[in-house]
Amino acid sequence: MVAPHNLIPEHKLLSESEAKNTAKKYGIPLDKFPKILDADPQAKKLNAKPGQLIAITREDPTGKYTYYRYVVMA
Amino acid sequence: MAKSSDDSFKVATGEAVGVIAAQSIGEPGTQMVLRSFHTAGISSVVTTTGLPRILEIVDARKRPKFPVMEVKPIKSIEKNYEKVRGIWRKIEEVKMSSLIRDFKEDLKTGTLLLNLDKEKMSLYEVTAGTVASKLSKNESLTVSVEESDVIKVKFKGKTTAQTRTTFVNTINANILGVKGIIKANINQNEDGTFVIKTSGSNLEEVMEIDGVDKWNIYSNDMFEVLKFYGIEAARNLIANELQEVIKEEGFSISFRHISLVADAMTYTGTIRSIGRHGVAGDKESVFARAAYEETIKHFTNASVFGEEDKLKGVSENILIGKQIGLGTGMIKLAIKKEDLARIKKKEAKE
Repeated sequence: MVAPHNLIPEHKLLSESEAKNTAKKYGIPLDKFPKILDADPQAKKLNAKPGQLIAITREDPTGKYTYYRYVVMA
Repeated sequence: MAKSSDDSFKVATGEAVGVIAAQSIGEPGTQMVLRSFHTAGISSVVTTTGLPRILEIVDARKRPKFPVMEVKPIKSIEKNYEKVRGIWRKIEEVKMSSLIRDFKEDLKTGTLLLNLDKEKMSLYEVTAGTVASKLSKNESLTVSVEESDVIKVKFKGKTTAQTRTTFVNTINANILGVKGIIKANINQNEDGTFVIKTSGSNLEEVMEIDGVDKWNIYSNDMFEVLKFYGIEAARNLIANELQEVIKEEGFSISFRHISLVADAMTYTGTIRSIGRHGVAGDKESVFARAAYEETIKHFTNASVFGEEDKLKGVSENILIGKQIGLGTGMIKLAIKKEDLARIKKKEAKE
């Protein structure tokens, strides 16, 4: 059995302009980002609506980085 | 040469990370044995390990064969054994059947007499009254305490079979703890904090217990984690579980490969299995799907529905003999019109 981990990383809801800049940075449209359902417990906590982008601060053996998920309808 | 450990995880544009990950996991995979049972250390929590556990994860089975949880108490009481024991008592499931010495049932009159075991009762710190009130939550039953250690249950079913079924259910009824938690142990870590390890998983109910660090429970049931903690937690769980199983088998695979698998499985916001019902079956390209499994099915469907293949992936390009869009194949050479004109002029002169 694994040593206790905190499974849930920090989720942050991005504003529309932040989302636009992120999409521009990676050169892909918003709907090509990995998805998160609007019914997801973390998305619900942030009250995220479909079409918004959520930034997730991940920390794993490959380092600390931000991952993005695009909110879609369940 | 990499400057720091973070730099060593950087990758050049166009690197075929998926193929490298597949080979890095596949090669040690061939050497793993099919032995599955394993007791982790001194604690008697049994889980699946080795290749069977890896298959369980990548196939995205709905329930692991041996679900386990690791429950942490909140910070203020994590070193207080008595308080942790209080939580433990609320977690481990005690069924009616483990509190009784024997029972008598009369199916004609519809009565069930439960003879309680006094030793067990004092062990779990319950009285006949609390047991009776728990049983009477089922409204179709009439429950009364006859003596300090005898409980009478009355039920009148339409048929004898119905009465019998109800009595069996009554004997198997949950009296204490959380449904589905077969066993729970309290373990002490080196820093003096206590954790509760359980066989059986039920995040929903354990999260509601007072004194439990609600958002910090570890469960190896990924669909439960997905439902109550969300997709990111499920992704971390998949990656961690794979990494741990591989480590236990005595292999070391870089986390970058394992996390890629976890990311692919959780890309759509739900958990998809690796294979034709999941990641491979959802591919956009007809050729890529046909190259994997069920070739004829994919080609007939594609021709009936007039599917189009944009030839952007790897396997479809290998299939038709075109250069793949990876590595140097990703780069396209373009030349400006005026430059071309100049070169042509130069060539004409010579």
